[in-house]
Amino acid sequence: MATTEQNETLGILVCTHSSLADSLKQAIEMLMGPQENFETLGLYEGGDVFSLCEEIKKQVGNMHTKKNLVFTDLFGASPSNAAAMSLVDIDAVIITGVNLPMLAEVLTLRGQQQDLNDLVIDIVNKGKDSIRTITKEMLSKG
Amino acid sequence: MITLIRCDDRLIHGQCIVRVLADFKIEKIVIIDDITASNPVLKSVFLLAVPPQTKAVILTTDEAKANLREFIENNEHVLLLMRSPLVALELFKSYPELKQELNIGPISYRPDTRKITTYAYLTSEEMDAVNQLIERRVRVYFNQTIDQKIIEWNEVRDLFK
Repeated sequence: MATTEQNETLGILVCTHSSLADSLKQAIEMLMGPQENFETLGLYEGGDVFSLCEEIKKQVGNMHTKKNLVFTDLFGASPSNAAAMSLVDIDAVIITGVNLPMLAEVLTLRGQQQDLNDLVIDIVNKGKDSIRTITKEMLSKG
Repeated sequence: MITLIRCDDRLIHGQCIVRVLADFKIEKIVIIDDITASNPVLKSVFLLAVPPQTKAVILTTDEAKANLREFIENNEHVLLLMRSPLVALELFKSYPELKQELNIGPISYRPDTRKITTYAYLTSEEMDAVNQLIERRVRVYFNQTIDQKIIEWNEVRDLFK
């Protein structure tokens, strides 16, 4: 199954505190079906940032994807810091503050030939724009 | 002034940003870590992680020993952050005027460590440093955030002899 040839698909790794990354994957697969080149990693109590950095490099390396996006949960936190450290050795862009709409966007668009920088901008905008509020007042307006 | 002296081997991370900085109204973080201070990549990663309203410097242990008075006498609320109690011991030895309290937060598992709490693991060398701090009348306590349980080293040290 593993191949040393580079995979053209965009690799996706979600790296978070605790089991959030696994749960995000489960949730997005509930919406969009099973996904390949989509890995997850969690930092648990007692875990350290350097080991996590090594895990990130390993997971991304195992996908054999030329380009990668690493989604993390919180800017400045250990999963994000570990991902930042890994950039010395892997070809990836990190997007922090991961949410489900961002993952839906990347999984919808990653098959299309699109410039990675443009894709990153799309995903970030999707993440921000998807944060909405719903109030009782909105319901009566029909 | 030094508001909190804390061992936390993840240095600046989520818990630090979301809780510790706010709980202690920290205005400046002084990271004392030889590895981070001498590695440009690590240094930039941790400086990037600092919230914009907070200042931060990263020093080697020797630089900290030479320059800590500046932060003690300053009016800003300073967090002294280091990975290991071994570094803390050196600082307490160099600056007896420091507030005699060391907070130990998350210190990750390593193969030669013992589990003190769910989040803190110490080597025998680190436990020895902590015992030396106790002998110097420094209170050493394990606590992640102020609303969580405090474990005094004095109360559990006999379990780790």
